[in-house]
Amino acid sequence: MSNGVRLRFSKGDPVRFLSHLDVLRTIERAIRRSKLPIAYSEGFHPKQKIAFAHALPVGVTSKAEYMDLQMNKSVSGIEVQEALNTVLPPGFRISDSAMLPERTASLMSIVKAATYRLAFLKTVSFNGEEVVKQLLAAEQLMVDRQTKKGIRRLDIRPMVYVLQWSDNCLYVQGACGSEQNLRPTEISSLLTVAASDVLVERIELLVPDVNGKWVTPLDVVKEL
Amino acid sequence: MDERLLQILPEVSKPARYTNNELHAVHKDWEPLAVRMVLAFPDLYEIGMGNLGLKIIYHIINERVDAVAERVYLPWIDMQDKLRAAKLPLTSLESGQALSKFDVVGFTLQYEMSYSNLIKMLDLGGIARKTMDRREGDPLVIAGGPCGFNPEPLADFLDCVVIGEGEEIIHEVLDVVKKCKLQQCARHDLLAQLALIPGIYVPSFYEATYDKKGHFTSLEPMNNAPRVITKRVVADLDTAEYPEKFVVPYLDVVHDRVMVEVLRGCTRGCRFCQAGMLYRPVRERSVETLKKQIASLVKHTGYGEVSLSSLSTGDHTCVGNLVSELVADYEGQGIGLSLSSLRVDSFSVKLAEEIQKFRKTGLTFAPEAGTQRLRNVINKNVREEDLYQAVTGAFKAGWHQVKLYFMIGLPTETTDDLDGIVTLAQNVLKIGKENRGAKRPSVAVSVASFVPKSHTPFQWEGQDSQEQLLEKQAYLRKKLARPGITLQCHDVKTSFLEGVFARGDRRLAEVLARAVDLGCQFDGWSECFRYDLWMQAFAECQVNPDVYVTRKRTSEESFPWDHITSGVTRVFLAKERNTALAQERTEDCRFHGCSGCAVCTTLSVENRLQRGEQHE
Ligand code: SF4
Repeated sequence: MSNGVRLRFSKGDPVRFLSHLDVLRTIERAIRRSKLPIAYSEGFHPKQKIAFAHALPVGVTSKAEYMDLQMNKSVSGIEVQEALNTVLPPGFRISDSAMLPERTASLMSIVKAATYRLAFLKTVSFNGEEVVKQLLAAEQLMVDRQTKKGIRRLDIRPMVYVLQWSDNCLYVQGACGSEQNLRPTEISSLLTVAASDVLVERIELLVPDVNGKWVTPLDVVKEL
Repeated sequence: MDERLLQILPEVSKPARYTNNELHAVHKDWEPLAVRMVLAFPDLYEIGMGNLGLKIIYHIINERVDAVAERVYLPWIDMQDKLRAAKLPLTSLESGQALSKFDVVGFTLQYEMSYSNLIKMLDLGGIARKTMDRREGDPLVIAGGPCGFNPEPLADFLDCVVIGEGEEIIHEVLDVVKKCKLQQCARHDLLAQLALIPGIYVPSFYEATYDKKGHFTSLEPMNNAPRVITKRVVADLDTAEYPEKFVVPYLDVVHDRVMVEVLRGCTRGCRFCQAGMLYRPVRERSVETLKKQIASLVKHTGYGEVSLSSLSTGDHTCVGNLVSELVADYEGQGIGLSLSSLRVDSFSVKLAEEIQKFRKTGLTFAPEAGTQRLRNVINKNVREEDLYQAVTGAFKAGWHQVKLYFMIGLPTETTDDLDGIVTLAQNVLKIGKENRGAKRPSVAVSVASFVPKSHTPFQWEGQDSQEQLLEKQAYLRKKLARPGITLQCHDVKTSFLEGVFARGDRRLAEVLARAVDLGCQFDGWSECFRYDLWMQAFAECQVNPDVYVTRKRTSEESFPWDHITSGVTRVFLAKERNTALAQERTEDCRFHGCSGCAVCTTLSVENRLQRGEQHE
């Protein structure tokens, strides 16, 4: 085992509107308050050794964010979890942890998919189950993607893996990562629902295991 | 949070400005009898959250069981539009209540260019703009901060103004508000009782008179209000209340770090500097208190940086010890130090060297004027040799950029003084080349326009016109155009408007109100500043802004701020002005005996030094 710890945490309603950088700053400060023996990078401007998975969009809550912390000495996952939970601001909570084996691949490199739940604030005019069928049957799902360079027309059908309608919510499993990334609001835009009328929550981040089955980033290290 | 607000938030930029719930934000129940005050900063969240004064007041009020302090900032324009469209008022962060529901709305006046924002906040908060239009049960609108020393342009909008340091007087204000709330006093009685508190100014209790030429002549008190309001001070910073925790913002705000105030006041006596005159005398905090405050704030916030702030941190008589001890305590924890201001000497460079292991940004020095003659006029105690020594030290220690701050438009300035700026910048660059290895040294010159401020020896002076300033800027730009030197000049239109309000009177209220109606706000943000609309407002109200800015005042004439005193007498300021025109210096009273500004006798306080190594 290394001195690394993988944590799963939730980003709740009170902090829904934080950006990825805001979250990073919050975690860094929480770690300093916790007095955990975090490792720092070398150089003039030492940084805490924290690594995240793919950034969560502003406005989205999550039950399953992940981060890897590198410690100076061995601290158990439970200890880290408890120490952080006592100092984290409302809205953040560490829910699970595991020690990292030597040379674990980074979260960024292993996470390939994510599950989201889309809850609609206003009663929707469509039949959820029907819509799911239609979307899955479509050959192409064209959306306008806002990128730094402007708006691009894009087919997101290959990035949509699973769609499910349940309890008046739409559950979406799709690509997540640097190569391919499905944005949950792109699905709601296909249903002509405005972004401000959907509450999106990330339910899980997923990693393909050796058999191609989806597992969580904690499963990966716990199995080893 | 209000459902309707939640709907809006995904559609605005940086919604976290409006969502509350930061670590250590204080949420109290609204007990019916408690006094509810909202601290209002008339600018964006990211600017207001950096203000140390408000952090202190927020803490002090929330320590009381019978009072609640919450926060509010001016929302950015996209959010204002959404609020208006949804018919939602501006609300406080903590309880989400409209500003109109509070007992007290307390604004801080940090800079003149935020005045339009203050009015905008009243509008959005559902509060009548003018004190005469407010009804029983409406909030009491108060203000404090440096611009409170000439609050006349805002007189029509403010129910009362706190003059001076807030730590003690805020309790007295809250006590009166509480009593009046219990007894259900009429608004007028509340104001009358507040006016009895030393340091409180109730503008509506005074009437302004003007002469035939339209110049201000006097302000006559009514309702037994005092003729002169004297600022409040805290005699001893070591016993003054200070927060153990700061609210820790999620967003990247200005001054986002642990801040301790190492000393208050400055007696160096720079004649252009309003802060230097307003905050006398000098009171240093002890190293022991500072270390305690830092330890507590670091523990509760988790910040990775501690800033030692004040008007001139290098002046603290124990600063050397303090810095070494802090470096020793915190270096291993990944916590860095920063100083808010550097003096122009090699001692300061040594300090900076000790704390800034990584020379990322440039070092900044402020000689303010280009020649010794002009530096004598403004009483800036910096010799050319001091500057050269300091920058030699800086370049040798590894910095490759030096920033130099100057002002143009100072009284008695000639082309020689502009040439002096050029010479200093060139010599600094030359020193850089001689003392740097491979990496290219650079000099960044920043030139501000001098704006005469009330309560200073230069309050009588005329401000340069925009044309004069532009000409001087062009001259410098031409002379300084060479590789290795960059020049940045302040916007002359902004300085002009700042000049209007810095020495303005009550007649500006109409202009302000009109300008806001025309769409002026966020005047300190270049992308929002609408000089054309301001000029339209002046024209429509038939007020000539030039009269406030470029006109040299006669030595006998009264000023709209004469009734407010910082303890420094007008006689002393006039004497200082004459000394300035004679190009003579006045020494720092900390080290050379009293120079007679009268603060100490008037306020029964004195310079309080910790007497460490004591250097000048
Ligand atoms: S009264 Fe004298 S000692 Fe006190 S601040 Fe003024 S000049 Fe300095």
